[in-house]
Amino acid sequence: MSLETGNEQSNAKIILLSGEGIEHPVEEELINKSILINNLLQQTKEAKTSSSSTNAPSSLIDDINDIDDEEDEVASNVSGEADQENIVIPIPNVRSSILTKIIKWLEHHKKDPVISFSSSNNTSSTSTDDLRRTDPLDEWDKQFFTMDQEMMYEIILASNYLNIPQLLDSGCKMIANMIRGKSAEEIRQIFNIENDFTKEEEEAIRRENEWAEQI
Amino acid sequence: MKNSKNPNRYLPINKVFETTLKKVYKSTDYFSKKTTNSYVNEKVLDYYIKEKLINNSTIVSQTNGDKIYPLLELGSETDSFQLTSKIEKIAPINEIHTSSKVILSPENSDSDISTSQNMETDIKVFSSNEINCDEHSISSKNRLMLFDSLRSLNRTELSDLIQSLKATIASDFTEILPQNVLTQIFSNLPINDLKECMLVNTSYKNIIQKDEKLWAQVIKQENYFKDTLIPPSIFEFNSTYKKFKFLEQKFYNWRTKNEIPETKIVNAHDVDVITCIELTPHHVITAADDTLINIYNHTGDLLKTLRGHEGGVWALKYNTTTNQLITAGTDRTIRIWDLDTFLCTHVFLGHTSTVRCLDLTDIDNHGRVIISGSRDSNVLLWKLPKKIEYDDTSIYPLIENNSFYIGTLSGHRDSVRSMSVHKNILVTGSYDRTCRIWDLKKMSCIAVLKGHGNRVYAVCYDHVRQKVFSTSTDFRIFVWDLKLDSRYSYKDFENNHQLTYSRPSMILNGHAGLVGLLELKGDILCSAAADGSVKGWDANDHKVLFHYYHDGTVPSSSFWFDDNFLILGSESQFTICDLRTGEQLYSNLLSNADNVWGIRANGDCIYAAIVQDHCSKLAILDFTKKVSSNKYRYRDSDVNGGISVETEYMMERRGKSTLRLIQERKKDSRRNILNDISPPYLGSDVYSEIYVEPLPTGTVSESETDNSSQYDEFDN
Repeated sequence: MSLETGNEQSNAKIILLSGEGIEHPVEEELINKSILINNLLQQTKEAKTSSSSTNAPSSLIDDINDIDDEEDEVASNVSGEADQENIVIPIPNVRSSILTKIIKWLEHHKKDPVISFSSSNNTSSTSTDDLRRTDPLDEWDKQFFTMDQEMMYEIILASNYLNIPQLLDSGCKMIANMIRGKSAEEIRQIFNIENDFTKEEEEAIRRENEWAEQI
Repeated sequence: MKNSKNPNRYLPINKVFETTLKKVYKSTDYFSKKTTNSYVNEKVLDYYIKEKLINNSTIVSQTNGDKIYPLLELGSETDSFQLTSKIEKIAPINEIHTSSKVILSPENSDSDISTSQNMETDIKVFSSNEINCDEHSISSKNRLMLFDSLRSLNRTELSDLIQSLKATIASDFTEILPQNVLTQIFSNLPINDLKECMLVNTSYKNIIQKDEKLWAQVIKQENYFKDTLIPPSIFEFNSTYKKFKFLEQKFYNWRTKNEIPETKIVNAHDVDVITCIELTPHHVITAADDTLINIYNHTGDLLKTLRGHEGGVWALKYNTTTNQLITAGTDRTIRIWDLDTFLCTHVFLGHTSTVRCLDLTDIDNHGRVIISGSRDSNVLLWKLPKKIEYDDTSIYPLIENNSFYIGTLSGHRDSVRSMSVHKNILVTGSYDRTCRIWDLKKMSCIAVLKGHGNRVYAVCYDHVRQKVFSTSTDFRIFVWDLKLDSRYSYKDFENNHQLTYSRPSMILNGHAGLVGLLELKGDILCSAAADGSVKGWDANDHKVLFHYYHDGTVPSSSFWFDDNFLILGSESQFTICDLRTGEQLYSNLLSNADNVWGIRANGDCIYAAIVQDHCSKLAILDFTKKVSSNKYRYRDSDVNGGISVETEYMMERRGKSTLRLIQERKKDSRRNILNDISPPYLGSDVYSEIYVEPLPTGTVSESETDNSSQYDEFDN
């Protein structure tokens, strides 16, 4: 490549490849909120600067495969499509409609302060802890998650996999909101759960918890 | 649906239809394992739905007798789309037509029902096939059937369909999402919701109870009792949930009002002022003006009386790591005791007047250090002696020959009344109307806080927010913001030699008496004044978090608080408040105490240094042994002028031997009527107490044997 490495990085397009094989171009700035992809990109860049650029896409694919071996086949199919200029990241376990939603979310939260993605797990977990304690769920996110349960679960799963702490946090809060203040019977109805307790068991648990009801 | 004005209008395709399709489509997607084959077909189908169906064209398939094979499977991609035949007939539904539930709104006509019934079954079949059958052809076939059926629906039916679909599509997130996500979801919920969730089913109960991270967080959030307040037995628990339940139990031991703690009062000192009370992991320590120091165990047994001081003991500090006790007082000495052997190991002389305050801190270059402030206006620093086997007491009469002596901080011009220390920063409050900030590393004064018009009584150093709180006789609390002072930055404060703050950054008003007690714990600054007011301030923004007034403006003598409870003591008043709800839990638990001079507490007990009949006593309120305030009934019959009048006394047991009269009834034998008498003296604050020792059997019977259900509710 004749271009400077710095230039090349900023111009590189990132294409997320959904489970169906549909391409979702996305700005690097946006997708950097995903710690998984951010790390992958960093590694790719390091690989590019140290060795020849053609090796980079395959190393990227390897990383993905390490994480999810099941989707070997899809991933290897995709590697051929990887453009020289574009970085194609296959996300085989996320469907296209979910990716679209996530990108929409990322676009809206573009200007949010970035949580420092330091390499150690400790710091990232404490930062999300802080986030959880301080931030109530914002209106836009509430609107965003107004969808059926399945899709919500898929988005949460995807944000967990892609490691987008803020989105995961919003999703978790959304489910928590569905539970908050509800009785056990109401929770069963919302999530289509069968009650497998006997009356005695239920009574025993209630007795164990009765402190809380005394307030 | 809102706009179902025209139910008979057939929908070629509209938004509702599209979303319904997507839902159905998605649910199939979820259940079917993604093989490459199905993947391609789905892709095609997707295209098909979009391009053909939505454009109001017909569904393409090939019919073969009763069965319908969609063409999609036969060839690849669009070539196989022969847009020729139209499905006339929906595949036979009878085979699977069994337990279909019809959800229809009442305004639907009869003819419509059949259609939607079919619909309903179709969907059921469709999804169950999807789950059980590996053959993709069936799913494709069913899909085509479904699309065609959907097309024939009107708005109302679609609306019903969506509703029923929503119900079937609902699924349990705990089966789908991984553990770390579940933890995150549940950690957003308050404890009461978690408890409700545990009642959902067995799997919920297990998921929640076994979540160590979640409960660790709940413990942190609920903050029932700090670990330091809990006896070491807590750490034996193998599950965090159990630990939580244990802490919660302790919390509710305090919280439940229909039971009162068992109270034990033991003799302490023969003088009426008890100067110090301290609670250590194994002992309760009291000291008084009678030169003695008493060591009790947690249940109130006197283990040892430490003798040695030749004057009243005024200051006392315990060092947890080495189990050493440091005491000082009017005899100007500082004594160090080993609480393993109860022996006095060291006596330090050096002060020329009464030692008023003591503290311990760690300084880099000296290790653990004792700081003593005295009426001689000096502050002396001493190394804490290491514990070795001492046979005898080592007395150091002169500081020159004392290897433990570090140095003297001089600067105050009057008695040093109080001190507050964190690491190498010491703040002292003096009767010379100033506070001084010292750097113990450099052994020098780095700042003088001038502004009080009279003696400084209490001082508190907040190292987190770099502030100093101080009080004087003028009812106000001064806040010295060392970081944000307009003229100095904290850097100056750290580097320069000596700064003078001539004005506090803020003044907290609210008390109407001398503020003699000031204590900072976490984010709460608690102050108590001579007018009987006790206030809690937010250390960050100085807002009032709570305030309490003793009855009759008697001076507050003592208080203890944590994030949940506030315990207050004054002249014959002893009150426990719940800071979460602001509720007064117990009042006058120690009704026979003339004054309460000191309060300490852990999760199990409250220890109070009280004065009763001019003697100091230690009161132990044990919340682990709560006496259910069982009501007792005492009957007394009196024959008066030939008429027998039976008086019934309702009494409440308080402690083992105290009964408190709460109600009195007279039973007139002639009319056989119970007259309730609630005399005014039986109000909540003033009441008469009857001491019964031991409990007389026969005349007093447990109320539960009686039928007066009015009192039975208090049982358990």
